Amino acid sequence: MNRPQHELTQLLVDWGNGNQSAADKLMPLVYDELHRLAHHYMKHERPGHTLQTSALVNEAYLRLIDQNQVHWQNRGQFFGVAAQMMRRILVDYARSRNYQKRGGGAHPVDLDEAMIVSPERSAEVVALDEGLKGLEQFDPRKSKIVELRFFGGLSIEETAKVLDVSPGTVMRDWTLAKAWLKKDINTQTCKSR
Amino acid sequence: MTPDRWQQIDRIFHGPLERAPTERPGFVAKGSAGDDSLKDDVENLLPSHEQSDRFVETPAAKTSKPAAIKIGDHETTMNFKCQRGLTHSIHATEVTSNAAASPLIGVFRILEQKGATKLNELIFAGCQKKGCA
Repeated sequence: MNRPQHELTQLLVDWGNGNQSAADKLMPLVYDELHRLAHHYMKHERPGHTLQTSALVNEAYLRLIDQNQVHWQNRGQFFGVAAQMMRRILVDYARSRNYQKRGGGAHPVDLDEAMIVSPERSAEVVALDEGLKGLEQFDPRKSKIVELRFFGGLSIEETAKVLDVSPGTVMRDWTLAKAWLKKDINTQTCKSR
Repeated sequence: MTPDRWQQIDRIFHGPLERAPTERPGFVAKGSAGDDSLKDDVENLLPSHEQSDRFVETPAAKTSKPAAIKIGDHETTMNFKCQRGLTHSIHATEVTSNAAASPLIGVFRILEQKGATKLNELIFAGCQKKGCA
């Protein structure tokens, strides 16, 4: 980690106080840390190890942020950013894999990258990312819920805490969002054929 | 999709899910109050809901690194290089379903993974192949 923990903690607190430029500075740092942690785990864990997105996000939080200096709202904000960054990392992997599958890739996929998003899920991940962009246009909260759960690995209860809504609301939103996204992906698939 | 229309769908969508499939069309029609377009939008989502039971339920990066099985699925032959620099080939059928849970791949025992390279060329520090002790 290049930046001291107190500096990143201050960025998170500033963002919580409404400073958007603090969020813009924090995001690439969270991205770098998650990327580094994902690679570290995939290289050093034995075969059969299961990479848990939520564990990565938690570890990034513990490494980057001084918990004594932040409120629980700040923690929620961090998890929101982390899920967004995990989405970017995983979608990039999946796009790269799909590109190579179509014969466009000159470089082989590294084993650790290949296993972060399994081959059979890469198309689903890319299509879901497109669907979420559409959903975000008319229902940002439902889009965020899917991002937190699918890319951030959070449970219904954790997602509710991050968004400061009830678990019941998350469950209802999750149910409708999934139905809409399923339909959207089916439509995307039909158009691409 | 406009936010207003989406809110209307959101308001109606959950009611039919609590009813038997045969009762759903009538319930949607009642909730739509004569708005056929709204009724169609909700009805079109119901089949997708039925198909979405397991959809996105497993986080994107929850599965990882069952290296041997994944490679076996895609390659008929896998090449390994042991600590003596010898290349060994094994057929995918030699990769057992337990490979992901143990450090054994066929007759090879993984002592240390030196580095992840191409999918069909893994380098391991040691193996148990006969004559390669």
